[in-house]
Amino acid sequence: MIKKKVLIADDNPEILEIVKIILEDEGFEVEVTLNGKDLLKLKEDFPDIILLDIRMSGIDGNTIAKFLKNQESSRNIPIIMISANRDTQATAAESGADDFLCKPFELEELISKVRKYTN
Amino acid sequence: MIFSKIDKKDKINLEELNNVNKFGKARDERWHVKKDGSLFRASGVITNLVDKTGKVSGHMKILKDITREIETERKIREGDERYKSFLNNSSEGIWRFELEVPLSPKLTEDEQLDSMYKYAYLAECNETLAKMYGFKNSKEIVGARLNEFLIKEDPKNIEYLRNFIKSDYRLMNAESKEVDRAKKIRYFSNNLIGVFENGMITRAWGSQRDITDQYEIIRQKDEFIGVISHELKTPLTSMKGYIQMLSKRFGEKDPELNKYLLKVDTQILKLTKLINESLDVTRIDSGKLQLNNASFNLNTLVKEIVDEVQSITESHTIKVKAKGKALLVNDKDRVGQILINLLSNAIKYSPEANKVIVTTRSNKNSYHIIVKDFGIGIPKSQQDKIFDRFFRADVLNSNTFPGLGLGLYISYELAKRLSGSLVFKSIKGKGSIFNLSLPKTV
Repeated sequence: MIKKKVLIADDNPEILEIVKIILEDEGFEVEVTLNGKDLLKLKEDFPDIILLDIRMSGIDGNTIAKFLKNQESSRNIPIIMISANRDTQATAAESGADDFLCKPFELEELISKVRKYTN
Repeated sequence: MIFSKIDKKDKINLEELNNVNKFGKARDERWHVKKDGSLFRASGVITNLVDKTGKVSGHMKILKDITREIETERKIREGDERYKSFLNNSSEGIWRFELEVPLSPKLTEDEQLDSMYKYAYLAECNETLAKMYGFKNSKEIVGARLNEFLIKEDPKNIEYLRNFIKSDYRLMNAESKEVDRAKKIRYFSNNLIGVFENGMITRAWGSQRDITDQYEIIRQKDEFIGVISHELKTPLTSMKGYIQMLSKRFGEKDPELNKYLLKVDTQILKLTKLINESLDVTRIDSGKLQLNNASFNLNTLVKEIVDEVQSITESHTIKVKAKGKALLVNDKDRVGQILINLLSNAIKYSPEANKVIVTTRSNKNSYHIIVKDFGIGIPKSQQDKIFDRFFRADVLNSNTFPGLGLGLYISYELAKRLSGSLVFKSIKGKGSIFNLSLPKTV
């Protein structure tokens, strides 16, 4: 079976590392980036799902989500927004994100959401 | 003595007589000398005395002592100056607004607001007020309309004026958000009183204090707490992740390790709760709480929350009476948060009991979640304080009941923001009943 590919953008390397371990344990292929702007350059080899931190240095997650959701080739990729602030849930939804995770999230919650959108 | 030596020296006597001779009548007002040498101010009229043949035979002067009048006038003038100086040296801005068209208090709030914005103008103010708005002096600002400073589009200002109406036109320590001459935002704390004439409001008096600096400090504090909370949550997230990963990878083979990992996880949960509580208080106090409203079944939520709390509670059994569908539109997470707070308290403050009862009820316009415990209860003397910030149960050993004392404050304030309410009944030594009501439609 081909592994589902998860792309995670977060400017915090510690978060990237543990989320990568967890999802790899669950059988996902995981790619990470510290720089949110990398997502604006996605042309081919799209992931099956994107996990996106709202608050990143340089660019914010909402801008990236809006860009990807307005681009024909990436419109259908599910995006889960991650934030330490649950009040940003509404703005995440406005920018087109499919779901929301609030830091610190439960492992099970992360896994079940990623599963839900990649099945 | 009609003419003093000095008068004579100045030839005032001659001048007056000349005038009488010329015009037949002369008036003057000056200081005269009494017999004892003291002065008195008098106004006088001099006329010619004419004999039968029409020849001037002498002069007559009628004097009126006006010393007291002059003194009173001087005192008034001095008093007036003192009063003006008092007003202008006040650190508070003092003002009088007039209404070009008197306002009937019988109009609706909206009509009154419209009328105020249409007809109110600044009729008088002290220099302090002018400077508060960036003007050089009061002359520059007098005549200004309400909307020039108290911008109508700002909901805070509409609320401020509504409260003025609701307070029966006597409002104290009310905050307004205004703009100065340079269009910079300034915050004021106001005291104002409406003046009635024949049942209509014709003017308002008031004083105000600039609290912009305090606002800025509060804003910085809120931002600081926001940044700190965010920065604390990031390492917590990775800690939590590692704990859960370790538990998953090695916990099944090593139950003891798993037990310890769970303890760390519980502590992380506590820390998260503390951070969220301080963030919530900041948001509630600054009015920045955002709600995510959606439709949900209250009974399903209640059962989910009870399951969640029950899973980490060994001491108590939580009984649920929540049947059927109870659909409403509200912020599900926040409703859940209040219920978790109420359940945690019910368990925390009933160490001798072994059960808590949660019931949901449906009334005509609202749903109720009722949480009943059989614990230590709240003494009458403390019942009006339990929703205050930082209130903690007054028990001998406060270590028995740890916490920031923010849970009930947050729950109470949240309930209000969710268009609902939180009330309670309690008897010391018997237990407490908390009732959260939420409207069926928001």
